Amino acid sequence: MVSCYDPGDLQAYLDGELDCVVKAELEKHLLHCGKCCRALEQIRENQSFASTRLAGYMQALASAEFDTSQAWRRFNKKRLSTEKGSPLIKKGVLSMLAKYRAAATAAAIMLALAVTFSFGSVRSAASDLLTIFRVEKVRTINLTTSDLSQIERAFREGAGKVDIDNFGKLEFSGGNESGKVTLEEARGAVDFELMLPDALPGDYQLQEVHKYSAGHMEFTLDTSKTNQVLQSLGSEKLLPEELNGRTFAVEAPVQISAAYTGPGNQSVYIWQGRSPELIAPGSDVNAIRDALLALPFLPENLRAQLASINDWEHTFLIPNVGGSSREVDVNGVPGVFIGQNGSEKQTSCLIWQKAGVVYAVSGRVDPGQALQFAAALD
Amino acid sequence: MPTITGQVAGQTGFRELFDSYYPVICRQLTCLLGSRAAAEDVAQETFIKLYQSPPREPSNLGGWLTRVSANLAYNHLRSEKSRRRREISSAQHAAGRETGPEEELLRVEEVAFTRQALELLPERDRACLLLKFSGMNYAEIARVTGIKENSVGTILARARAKFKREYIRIKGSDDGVLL
Repeated sequence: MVSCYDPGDLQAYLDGELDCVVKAELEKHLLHCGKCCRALEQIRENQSFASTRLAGYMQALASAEFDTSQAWRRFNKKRLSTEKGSPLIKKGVLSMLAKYRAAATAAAIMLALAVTFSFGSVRSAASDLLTIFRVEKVRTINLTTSDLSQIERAFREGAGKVDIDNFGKLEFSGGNESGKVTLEEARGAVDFELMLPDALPGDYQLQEVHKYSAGHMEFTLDTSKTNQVLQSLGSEKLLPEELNGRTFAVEAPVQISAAYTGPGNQSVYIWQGRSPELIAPGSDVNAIRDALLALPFLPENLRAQLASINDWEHTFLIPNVGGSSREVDVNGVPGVFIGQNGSEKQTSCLIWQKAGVVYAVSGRVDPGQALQFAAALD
Repeated sequence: MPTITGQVAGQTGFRELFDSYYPVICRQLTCLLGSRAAAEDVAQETFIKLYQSPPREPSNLGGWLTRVSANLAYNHLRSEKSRRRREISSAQHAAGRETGPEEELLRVEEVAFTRQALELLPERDRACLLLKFSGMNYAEIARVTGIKENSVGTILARARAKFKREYIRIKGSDDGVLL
């Protein structure tokens, strides 16, 4: 029998700082120790009390005006004096800036997808209460690099990391098997007609086909934890208690990927699969969307774009950072070409949805080529 | 040979970065140091450090800036103990607007109580509390404050309990005056 835990351990447990073994032992102990349970509750209360007050305090500080131009002038003066008057920016700093931009872009894309992921809605035949969301079309939303910094900065300011654990419980099953398959096996694995021509325009030949097994993800929302995070981020709109314990499920169906090799040993990949489905109790998703839209740090231009999407339930949003992606027509269906600025051909991607199947073409291609491949699949 | 376009991009890029992060770092520091002027001093030092020795892996620039500024702030704190106590915190200025609707007044009060309760915490405990709030984990807090990683949890639990006690006490003694 493990003896009771001191406040320091209980606090560390709450802060997610215990390793799995100690954590498991503590949880086991809590199952039968009323004293430690009460102590933990007290610590949790104190934490919540302090965080709420501190959040308000930080907000008050935030309302104080900041004149960064004066601060910048002061900084520049000091920088020039230490650099012996040289106005040139060091290579090390330039390289850091380039990496930072790439990392910030990647982080923002992940974040934008997490915040704005939305599907087309189809009422389930089985029950009026269940709504199944599926992708119907793809659209871009525009973000500037300063939007990204603003979002990233706001998360740094908030209490604790933005970890899925702070919002609820997430469980995965399946989805981690992938393997090479024959054309027949691939065709048999999906419930739609696979488009896998032997060759693509520009002398690309089919090499290999891979299958990615279906996956299932369940997320159970913890409103009190989520509201703590929302409060610490300065949000005034919180999630209603009724959402506590609600489970949202995402079904990610089987994906087939085909590799084609062309001139100069370049590879192009064609992905296809049914759209992921979000299964959520009726109006819950709207309450969450409202709370997310009310987050104060969302850049105004982003909030306005999101709020203006009336058919939110039917649209899959792709962030367009600094003009790196655009909407294109793919054989009569709206799609998105995600590329990088610059004259060199870099890895890019064309995504569209037709008849319930999501397609993607990726590789070192320009939009023209990608569209040709898409046409060949039609 | 540094290209002109590279330099222009660099200058703009660094300025953008500065504009994005300077305010938030300043706010965190004002919280830690209790004074806006001291916060700006340390923030300036932090950005000079960023410029002179930029991190090789800048994917968590916010975290880097928080850690470095907290380190500098902590050094500052230890050598400026008495001076800080005499300075008026900017939170009080920001919160000191006399006129406004009911809610604004209540908000202003809460901020004042928070500041006062924080002042009553021992320096190290307050630092732990604020650093945790700004997003650091125990390892990072231990590095900045010099406290043993194993003790951070204990100090946090104690600091929050004391914060709550003092806050309620301050609020309680103030309630009579409010009517």
